[in-house]
Amino acid sequence: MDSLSEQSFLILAALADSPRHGYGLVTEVAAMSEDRVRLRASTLYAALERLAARGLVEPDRDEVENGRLRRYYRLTDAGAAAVETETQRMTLQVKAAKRRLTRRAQQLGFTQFGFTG
Amino acid sequence: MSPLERHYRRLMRLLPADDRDARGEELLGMLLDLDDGRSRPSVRQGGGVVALALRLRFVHIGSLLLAAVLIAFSTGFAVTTIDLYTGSTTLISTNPELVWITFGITSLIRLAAAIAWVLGARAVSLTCYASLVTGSAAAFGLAVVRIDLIVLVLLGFAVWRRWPAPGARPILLATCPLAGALWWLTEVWGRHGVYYPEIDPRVTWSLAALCGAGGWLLARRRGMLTRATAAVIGGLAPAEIPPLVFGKHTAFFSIFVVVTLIGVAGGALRRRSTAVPLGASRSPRGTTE
Repeated sequence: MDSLSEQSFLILAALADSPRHGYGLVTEVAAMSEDRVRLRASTLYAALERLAARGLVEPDRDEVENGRLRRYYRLTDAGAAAVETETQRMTLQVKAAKRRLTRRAQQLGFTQFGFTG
Repeated sequence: MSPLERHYRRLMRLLPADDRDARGEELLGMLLDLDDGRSRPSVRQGGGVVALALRLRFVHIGSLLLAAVLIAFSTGFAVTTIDLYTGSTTLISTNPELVWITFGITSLIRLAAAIAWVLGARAVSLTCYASLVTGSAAAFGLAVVRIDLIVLVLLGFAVWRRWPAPGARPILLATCPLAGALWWLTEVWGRHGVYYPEIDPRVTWSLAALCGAGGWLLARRRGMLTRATAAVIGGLAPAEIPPLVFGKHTAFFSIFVVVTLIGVAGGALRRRSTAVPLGASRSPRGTTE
């Protein structure tokens, strides 16, 4: 399976618990990344098309609110599997990095490094 | 309509028509939500729309150029084959039959690849060219297939990047002149081959006018009128136009006819294969893969 960019991963993760429309995805991704990743509408538009072409998301329904079309997207089974795989990969990488940082702290003789994991 | 919506609708005209038709309202809704309360688009969102338009149009232009390259080379080699068969080009070979068969088979494969690409069957097009390059390289060496190798690399890149197959109108309006320019550059211009038949201009003008009127009356959609107009231009234009435009290279006009018909058939088949029921959503990329 192709790896996911950070943007794609966050978009898929934001859809994991319920279908969302574009604006909802932008705010959810911003919340998940503590405002570090702020998607533009055009970026999200292109990302959703790529993810739909890969079969990771699909349109759920259209609603019109205040004269504005809101298309809801949902995560497919393949998308959920992709998020799961990416999460496991990143978890392994984080654990490996923490082990090395702990070893570095021990080598440098620091007893307090602030890691609890 | 609010001022913000008016500004965004104007900005979104930069996007290709296919994308605007398929998902324009969705994008507009997102833009209005994100810039809610403003009277003009923010630099961030507006700039994003411009960048998106450039990216989408570049992909469309790249796809068109690739279609033009495929059409030009395939028709060029086809005419070379006709030259050899008709004796218009002198062939000096100890085994002329083998040369004719080789040219014939490779020309057919290139034409098949070009037609497949126009119809949206990218994998078929790639497979045709891969087979051609592999077989020709094994038989005659890599130097003989260097141009086909370049085309194969371009096809592979386009398939990897999921470049869309161009629609009927872009093919007709853009690839024919582009293919003509490539023909000129590859020095195939002016070869003997399929000649445009001599027809009384009054007959052709009358037929062209009839077909044009018929096409206008029958066309319910812009696409049909485009195809009808293309058929008139490609097949029934008056005999004086080719010599006036192309001078002694009237034979090229016949190739224009072939390419136009390929585009018309490709557009008609693609429309049929990507037709969706009213109310259903569809991807702007109407490819068959």
